[in-house]
Amino acid sequence: MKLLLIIITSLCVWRFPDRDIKEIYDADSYETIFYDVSEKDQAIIEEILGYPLDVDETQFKFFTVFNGSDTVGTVATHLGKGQYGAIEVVVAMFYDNDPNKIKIKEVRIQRDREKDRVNLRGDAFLGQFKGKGIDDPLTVPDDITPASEHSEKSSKAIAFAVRKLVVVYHYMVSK
Amino acid sequence: MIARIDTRFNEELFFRVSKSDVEPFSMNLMAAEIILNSNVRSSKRDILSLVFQVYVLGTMRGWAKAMHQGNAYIIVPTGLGKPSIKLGQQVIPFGLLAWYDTHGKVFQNPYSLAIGERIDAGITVQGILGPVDWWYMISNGNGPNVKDPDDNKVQTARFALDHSIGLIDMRVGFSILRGVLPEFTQDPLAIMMVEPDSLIMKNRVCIDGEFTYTYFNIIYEVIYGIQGSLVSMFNNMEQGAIGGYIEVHVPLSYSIELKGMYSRWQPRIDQPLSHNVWGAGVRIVPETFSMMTLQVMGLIRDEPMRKSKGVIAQVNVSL
Repeated sequence: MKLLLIIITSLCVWRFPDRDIKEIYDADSYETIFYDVSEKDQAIIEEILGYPLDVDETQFKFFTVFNGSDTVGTVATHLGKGQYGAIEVVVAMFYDNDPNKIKIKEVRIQRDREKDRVNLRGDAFLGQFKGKGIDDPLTVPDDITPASEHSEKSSKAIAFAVRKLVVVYHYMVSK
Repeated sequence: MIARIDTRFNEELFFRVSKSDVEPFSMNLMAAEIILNSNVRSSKRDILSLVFQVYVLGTMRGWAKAMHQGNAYIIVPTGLGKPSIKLGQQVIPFGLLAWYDTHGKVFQNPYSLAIGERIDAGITVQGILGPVDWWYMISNGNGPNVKDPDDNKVQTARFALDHSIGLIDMRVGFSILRGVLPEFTQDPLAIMMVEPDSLIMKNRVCIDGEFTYTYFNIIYEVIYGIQGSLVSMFNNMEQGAIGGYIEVHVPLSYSIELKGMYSRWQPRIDQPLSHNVWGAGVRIVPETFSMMTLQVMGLIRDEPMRKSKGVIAQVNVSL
């Protein structure tokens, strides 16, 4: 696992940017984009999300990934509130032939303290997010099956983190 | 070509209430500080990050302050998968200091005695070699905000490997350090205004790591050192020093975590005097207001010139 250059966002540390970008996109560079969330933005995002943002979520960081001169995706990180502490979620997105229609390419857990870690990090659970986008509610258990019957809270925390990043990015880019 | 510069500020406040059998009940603003973080990017990639830690108010003084305040550096990434360069005043990447942020925590590993500083002015190159992360830093050995008075330089190198298997996450690091550094008889983190007894050549090796089994987490380091020149270690073994640190975390829920620690530093292996600190307590993070942390920790110190039992309650707020 790589610890080359830890990137601290306002919400969550991105621990392995080089590894993640190479493995997920096989790309060669990225840039950091900051989005400040105004009160008006916050109200709209919260309406789409169905939940309030945390009080410190006034700025989001997204990392635009390039392969040569082509934009191949965007990565964001978020701290989910798990059963036994924070779950650090990495969401990799791509543009599905339309810059306003992002889809999820991959979801990773870079750090957690959950008892059901194996299932939460497994493909059976995280693989469910692939290909989903802004039109998918990503709710547990309706749209996303929990990792196991013992990890519903953790599964919901991860799904909510993913949904939040997708909603914020979609809104801030397309507004 | 620079396309954009983004800057943001974070404010942090550390307020401590403490009582021990050798000190009165006291309430102290340990620090109110501002972290400035700027990112410079071209049209296709980040080209520079800048971090300033600005100490605004507080009761920290002397060497204790210098071990927690004074970060000011830039990071220059040279490309994906390539080494990055870090210039300025920064934390020395030795042992746990390389990755475990002790700033704002009640529990402290024995770097103040083993190394004699935490933040130093210098240049770090860090990168990846296969599965291994590596660091190399050359620094002054004076602490932050001190003009370098001599040719002596501290060199620090660290290699680390992370591995996950099933329910277990592991990290193991190996560090070496050599250079002229402050030597303290009393811990400057316990007695802020204490001055170093001397500046001595220190050679240190350290194995550090982390072991996580589901929610149960341990961090540790073991440090061995020789004072003076490397040649003298072969004919003057009493110069050896040894220490270690272990910290255990057991979360009860998202918000509540039990913590325990033991820290030891024995400056001379041939003499029985040693610094020992035991600690236990709880860390609370409100689920709906996670930028605030409350630590309530009991500490027992058994050191050559200081024996005490006390309780510290500390509130950290980071906005």
